[in-house]
Amino acid sequence: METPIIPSDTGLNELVYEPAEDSFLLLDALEQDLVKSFQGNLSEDVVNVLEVGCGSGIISTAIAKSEKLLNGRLPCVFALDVNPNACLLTEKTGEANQVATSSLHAVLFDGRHCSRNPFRVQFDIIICNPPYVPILPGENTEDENSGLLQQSWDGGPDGNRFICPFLSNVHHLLNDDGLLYMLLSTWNDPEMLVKDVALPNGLNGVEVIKRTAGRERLSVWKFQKIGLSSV
Amino acid sequence: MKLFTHNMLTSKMIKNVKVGYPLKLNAAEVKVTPSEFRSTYVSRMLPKIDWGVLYEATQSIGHAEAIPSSISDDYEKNEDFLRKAHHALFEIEVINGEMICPETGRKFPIKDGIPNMLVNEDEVN
Repeated sequence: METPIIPSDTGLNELVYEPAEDSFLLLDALEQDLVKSFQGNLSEDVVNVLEVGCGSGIISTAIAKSEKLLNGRLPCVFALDVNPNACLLTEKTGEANQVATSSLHAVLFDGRHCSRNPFRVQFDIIICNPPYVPILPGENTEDENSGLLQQSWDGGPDGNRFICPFLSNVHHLLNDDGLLYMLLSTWNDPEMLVKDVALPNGLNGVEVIKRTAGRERLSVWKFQKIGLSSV
Repeated sequence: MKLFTHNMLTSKMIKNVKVGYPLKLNAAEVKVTPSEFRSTYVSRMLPKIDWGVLYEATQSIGHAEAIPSSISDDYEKNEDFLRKAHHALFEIEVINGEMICPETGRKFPIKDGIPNMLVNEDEVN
């Protein structure tokens, strides 16, 4: 999988989360795991992909060009973010990396509000690099203009303010044999999330990759609906 | 926002909304941007498309001649039809406008080509 280039002349870059170690680990996880998961998959249907929190669009763009990883199936990606600048930059990143405009579609939406699916379809792959950094109220607060940017990483006091409601509700968006890939940090207590949040909502979680980045230990987890997993 | 996106979005995330589909489409600014035609992609996408809703959308934003009112039976082999479908789904873009929930009248603005489906906490719970 090629690492997409983020166009630097958009005037949007400073207003959107810049790809970092977490983004690159998620790309590595997808490259490793999607090949395995789609090997021998003989369907010819378009693969419905959803990225929640697309930021610069680096991951949505890579996935929109990833039919080789999907056993030749063509991906169609919806990219969601709460930051309108991220939605705009994602479409520009797609263009700058020769993604067909029919394969990548940005929508302004908050992933926490998926207790009912805003789409008419469910997704085969859902990808999420959530805001996961624990931030106490008043700590690290920036001015009002950077509020949307802060939402891209501020996970609230325990780091799980976004992750818990999202992980509780995301099964509404996931196909019965769909795959959810989510980046987590040790701060989020991934084992607790798997046992106490994912499992009661019908999702099994396994770690697919981990890496130490500075003072963070990051990991990517794959979740699937229980009893219907084909992998 | 491409008409493909309109074809896929609902307002079902709002509490008490039963179907939330199709969203009524009002366009203030429409742009046509030619894009790469891939017959396989369009052909494999068509089973997921609500053709009636796509047809209505083209009517409502001033592109009444874009596609026929019903889907071709042999579309997999009909390149002319697939090109028209590609044009309607992926080349006609609403730059500014709004979508309206058919049950509550709740408006979802479209600005700079991006649909705003954000809802408040008290609208979903």
